[in-house]
Amino acid sequence: MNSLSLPRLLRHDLTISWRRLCAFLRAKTNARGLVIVGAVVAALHVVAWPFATSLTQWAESDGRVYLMALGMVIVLPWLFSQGLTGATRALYSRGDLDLLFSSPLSPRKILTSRALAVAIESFGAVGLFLLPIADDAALQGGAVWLAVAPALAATVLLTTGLALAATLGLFALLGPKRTRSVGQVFATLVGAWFVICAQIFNFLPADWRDALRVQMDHPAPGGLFDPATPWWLPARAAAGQLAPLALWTLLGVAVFVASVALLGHAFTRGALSAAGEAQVSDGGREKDKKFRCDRAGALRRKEWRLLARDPYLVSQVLLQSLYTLPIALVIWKALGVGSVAVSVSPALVAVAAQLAAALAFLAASSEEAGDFVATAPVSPHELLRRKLEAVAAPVALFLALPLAALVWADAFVGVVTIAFALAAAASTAALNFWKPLQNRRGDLIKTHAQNKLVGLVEHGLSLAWAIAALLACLDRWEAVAPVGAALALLWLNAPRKARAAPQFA
Amino acid sequence: MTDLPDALRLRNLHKSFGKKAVDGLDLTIRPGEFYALLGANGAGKTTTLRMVAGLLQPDAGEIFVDGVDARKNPIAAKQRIAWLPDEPLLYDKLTPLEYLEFVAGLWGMTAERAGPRAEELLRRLNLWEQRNQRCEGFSRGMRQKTVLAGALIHEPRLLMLDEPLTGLDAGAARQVKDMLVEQTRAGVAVILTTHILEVAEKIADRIGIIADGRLIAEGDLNHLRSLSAAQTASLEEVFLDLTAPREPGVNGAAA
Repeated sequence: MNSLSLPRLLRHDLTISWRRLCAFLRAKTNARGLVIVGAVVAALHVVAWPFATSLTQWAESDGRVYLMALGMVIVLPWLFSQGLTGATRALYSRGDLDLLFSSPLSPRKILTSRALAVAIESFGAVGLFLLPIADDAALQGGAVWLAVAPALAATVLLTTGLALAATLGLFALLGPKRTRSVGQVFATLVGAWFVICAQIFNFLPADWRDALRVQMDHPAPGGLFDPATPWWLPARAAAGQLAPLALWTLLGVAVFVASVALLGHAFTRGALSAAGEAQVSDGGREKDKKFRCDRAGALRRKEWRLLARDPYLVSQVLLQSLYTLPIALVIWKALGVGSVAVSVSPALVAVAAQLAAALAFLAASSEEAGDFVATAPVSPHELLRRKLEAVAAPVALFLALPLAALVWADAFVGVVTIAFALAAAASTAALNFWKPLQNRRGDLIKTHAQNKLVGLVEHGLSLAWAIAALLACLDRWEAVAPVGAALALLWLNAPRKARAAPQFA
Repeated sequence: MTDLPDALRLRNLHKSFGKKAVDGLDLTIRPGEFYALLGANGAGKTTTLRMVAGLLQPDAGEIFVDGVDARKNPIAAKQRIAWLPDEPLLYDKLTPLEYLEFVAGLWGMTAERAGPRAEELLRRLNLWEQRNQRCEGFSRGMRQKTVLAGALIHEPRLLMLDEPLTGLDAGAARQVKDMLVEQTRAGVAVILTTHILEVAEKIADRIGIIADGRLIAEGDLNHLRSLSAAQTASLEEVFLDLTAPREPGVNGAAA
């Protein structure tokens, strides 16, 4: 009997990916999922229209190749980050991998199927935003814009192949236990590069930008800005030049095929040792400590220990801190020299809000023994109070130094920032305690399965408090508007009637 | 012993989830008694235990734990109870010692009392060597034993166990059974649900059989045999006979 063919195996993997997407979209049937995806794609085409208009005009004046080069600087790290996340998940998610490895399928076939599924998922995630722009641009500026799609597909194959090799390299270097944490942090850093790149040109001083423009208009032959050099191959491919597109596609396919051909056995070994790590390892070892039993301390210590041992949290904090950098830079650029303290203020408020939200989400939603804790002779209010204290302490610790520096630099701005950071942290933490999502901690970390609506409200609160802080720092009375918006959001999400605190059960 | 209040007294307990899950249940367990609560899947065993543990609000009825009205004074009642669910509830990233420290803190024990007790329990359950190892790599049996240590550390008056032997190897199961019997000798009331009828047959002082949320039979094995058609049968046969669907009015005997 022949074992499962690659297309059927791939179909199986894609079915699982599709079901995951449907669950994310809360679509109970495939038809409903298709309708939602179709509606989103249509809406994105509408939203992308004016953006495509600007791009086609820019491309006419400055050349499509430069535009695509800028796009590639952003897209390449984004796709590589997607590939890293996908490859790590493929290695560590047990699911049906045990079944596949115990079957007579060759490791190469399993890896090929998994890698193709990762590549298709990455293409979907990035293409969802890029392809509507390219489609609209094609309607306005000609079919040559449609070359973005095959160029993107080739880029996805290339980055997936490289991400797979990087993940297995990390695995060989660091071992199964550390690779997942390091991989998550690494993917976060690479992903953050995308956000910073998106703004990098705007941050440059005007004379630098002029100098760059001269270089681009009159590139030195063989220099960095000469589109004839190999560095420009992906940009020329995306710009619709046929020979570079063919070459770029060939390169993407070659890297992908070489990765799966060479790494099949390494993937099997990696996945098996990842499984072994999950099932057999002794986890982390801790030192003997003095036994301490005060009730409040026991509740707080438990939360701190669990937070400190959470690898997802590290990448989350890093990501959120990095994402605020462009915000601070944009504000600083808009306000001019001498406004550093004011520029940093909303960024710190946003970090406080996001960090408190992340910690509260983990503390509230991933109470692994909620039922057990509910049987303890402790009131729900005390449980909530101790969890809030446990969340507040690391936020304060993380922000203490930058806030102190801010007070030292500008006392008024510093005090205003502290006040708004407190309000922001308290509001996003409260939101997560009011709307817990019961799950196993491990599952939450794997799937980042926060309630999407809560996530949206959380970002709304962060933004409102950050804008309010900025306006308050500038001594503008309009600060009351975002404060009002934040309070309204909180009121809308508060428990409807006075009742006992959440049970965490 | 007779002066002591009942370890657990349930009167006319009701709980419905659209369909009746517990229907007028009366049950009394004395201090130091080992009581096995048997029933088919969905009979109402776990719902009953969850109501006693304070995890579900009864629709009606009374729950007294060690003389304390659990509906009026849940914190005082919880202070006297330990509940072990069928799925061990543990924190993967904590070590057994940290878990016991947390549990001892929840039940308000002093460190002087809890520290030595934690060591004693972990040694008894062969977990002392793993005391500083995070629970994430533990087998089902090790997790179950860690949770049992957590249930015993605060010296409860009433120990409720839902399928405590699931996933344990023969040695560990024996260890757990011995510890439970020891607890009853020290005056702790133990109520256990199990599908392993041999356990109930061998170590329970009394056995209650629950069906459709009602106690249909209760007593020691001999008494249950007397209610069944098979007078010399094993508990399994008695259980199957008493819980078999019958014509209305044929069954209904309760001790």
